[in-house]
Amino acid sequence: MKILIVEDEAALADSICTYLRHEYAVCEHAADFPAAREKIEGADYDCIILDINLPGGSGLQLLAELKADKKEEGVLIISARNATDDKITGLRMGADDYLTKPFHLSELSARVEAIIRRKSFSGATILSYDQLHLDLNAKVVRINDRVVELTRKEYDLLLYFVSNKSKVISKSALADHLWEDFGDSAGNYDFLYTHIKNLRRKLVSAGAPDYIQSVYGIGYKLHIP
Amino acid sequence: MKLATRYQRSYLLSTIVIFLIASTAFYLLLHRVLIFQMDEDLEIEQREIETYVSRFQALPQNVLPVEDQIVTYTKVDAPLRAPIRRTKQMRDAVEKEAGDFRQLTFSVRVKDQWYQAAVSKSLDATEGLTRQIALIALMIIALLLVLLFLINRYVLRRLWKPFYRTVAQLKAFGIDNRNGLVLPQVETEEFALLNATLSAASDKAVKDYALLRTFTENASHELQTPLAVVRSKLDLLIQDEALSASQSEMIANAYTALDKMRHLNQSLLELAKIESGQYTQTVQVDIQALLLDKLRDFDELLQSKEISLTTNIGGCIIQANPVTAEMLLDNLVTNAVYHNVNGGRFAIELNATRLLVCNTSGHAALAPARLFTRFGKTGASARTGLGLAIVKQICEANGYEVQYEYADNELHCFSVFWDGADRT
Repeated sequence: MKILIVEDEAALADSICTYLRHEYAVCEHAADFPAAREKIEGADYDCIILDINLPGGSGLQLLAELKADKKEEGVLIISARNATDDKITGLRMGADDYLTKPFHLSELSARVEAIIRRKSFSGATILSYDQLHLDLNAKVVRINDRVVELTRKEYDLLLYFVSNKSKVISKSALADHLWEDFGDSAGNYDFLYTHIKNLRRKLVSAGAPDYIQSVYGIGYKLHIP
Repeated sequence: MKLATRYQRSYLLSTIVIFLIASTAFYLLLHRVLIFQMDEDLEIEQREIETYVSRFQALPQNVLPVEDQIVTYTKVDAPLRAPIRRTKQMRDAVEKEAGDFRQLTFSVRVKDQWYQAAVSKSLDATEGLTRQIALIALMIIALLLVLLFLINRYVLRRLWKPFYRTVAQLKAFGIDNRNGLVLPQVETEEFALLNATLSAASDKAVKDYALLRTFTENASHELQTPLAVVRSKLDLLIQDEALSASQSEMIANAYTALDKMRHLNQSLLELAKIESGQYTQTVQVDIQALLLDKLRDFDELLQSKEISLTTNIGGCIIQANPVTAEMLLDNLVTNAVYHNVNGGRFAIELNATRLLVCNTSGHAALAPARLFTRFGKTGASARTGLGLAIVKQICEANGYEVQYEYADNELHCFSVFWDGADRT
């Protein structure tokens, strides 16, 4: 699996590569427009993480060129710009997703995985983790063959965990994923605990091991106990 | 007091005074002239009498009494040193009415006897004349004053119109306008100068403000990347299994601060965008649907905090910008929920006239003055204090009126009136 990160802020690109290296074999980095173009023309990637504000040109132009060349890569736009117009433009030009800075690496990872899933098996429908099987189309979760009744948020939570398996996910990231713009009540995660608690309870009572591990003070992690 | 009124007052006052003085002077002068004329006539009579006396050595006898004239002779011992001229009340021979007469008294000698002759002529005509002249003069003065007053009033009013038009435009001008003042051409030099100067000043202010806003927006955007870097490093840091308890706690605090920073940056950006008019397009927006949706989002939060929600939500469809309308609802409802206490109350009312959002909270009545200012926080609060500033900005941009009230001794109530009428 090859990932290309087009981002001029080296520290950020570095972080992304480090985080994704677990899942993806190759992670390359281009820091400006000409370098990015060279890399894109030179190889095929599974997913390109594209920053719009690049020195030497706009990321959108790279996107246009990519589509003009009929390349198959999935594209995730990362940008500081949050305006709906920018998002619409990006998606209309052929990007698969749009993520606003600052984001959590776990969020980025989940989205990259979703893009790659969609591309590679024309949408793999079953995502598995040990005894967990998530039917992505029907949005149904099974423990082996048993269906587990989950609420929408609980399903989202579980999918998020599986997309970042074996990674510690901070409470902040989880809250952001479930509720948009959670930031203003930072520090108050009561309802997050409630959801996690319910999810764990439902999984365990359906016969699964307690996959969700609490990491003291920080957040949670999916692991096989 | 208006300039015109001030001007008119002093103008009228001085005009009246001058006219009064002038008319009095005129009257007196005229009177003197006519008396002088009369005296000359009397002197003619005097000479006639003296001629008669020197020719005929006898006093002239009046055959018929003459109207308006009286001549008397009195025997005296010694002559007058000089003729006496005076005005006195006498009775007319013919008409038997009392009136003013001008009298000339002089001495004549007939055959060794000195006589004091007094020739008196009636001043009736004279006085009548002066009276009429004075009346005409006064009428002219009165007419002039009225005319001047009217002219001043209407002409001045018209002349001042450009000024008032400029003032009206100034009142409507806000520095967050995208254009400077558009002031028309005027003929009056002073107002042309005023308009030109104001236009230039407002243009500059608008430009400077636009620059400042662009700077703020750019700064906000620039901040996003470093924030992303910090967050990403924290995300990597927590993957380390060997973190101690205190390290974990510090990282948790760092996350919290970052979250606040991101939210703050976001809010500042939104405020800047609203101010710069990015959300001016309006369509028919179903506020009722938006509100019900939003409340659904907060369902579980309300449940976990055990807040009792009472709603009275009716139809409300207004011409508004959909993005800012949602922001408005979001901020008000979020405030009401997050500031609320466990087991507290939350009441919402919506109709075509207004939106009312009430909630209990840990705070006592809030001070309205600081409430809608940026960062006007009440007490220790985890929130940024920008929410209400955004609400206020949206209301101002759309012509709504927002008010705060502390009701029932425990409810903080925010009302948004869609028609913008000030109900204080």
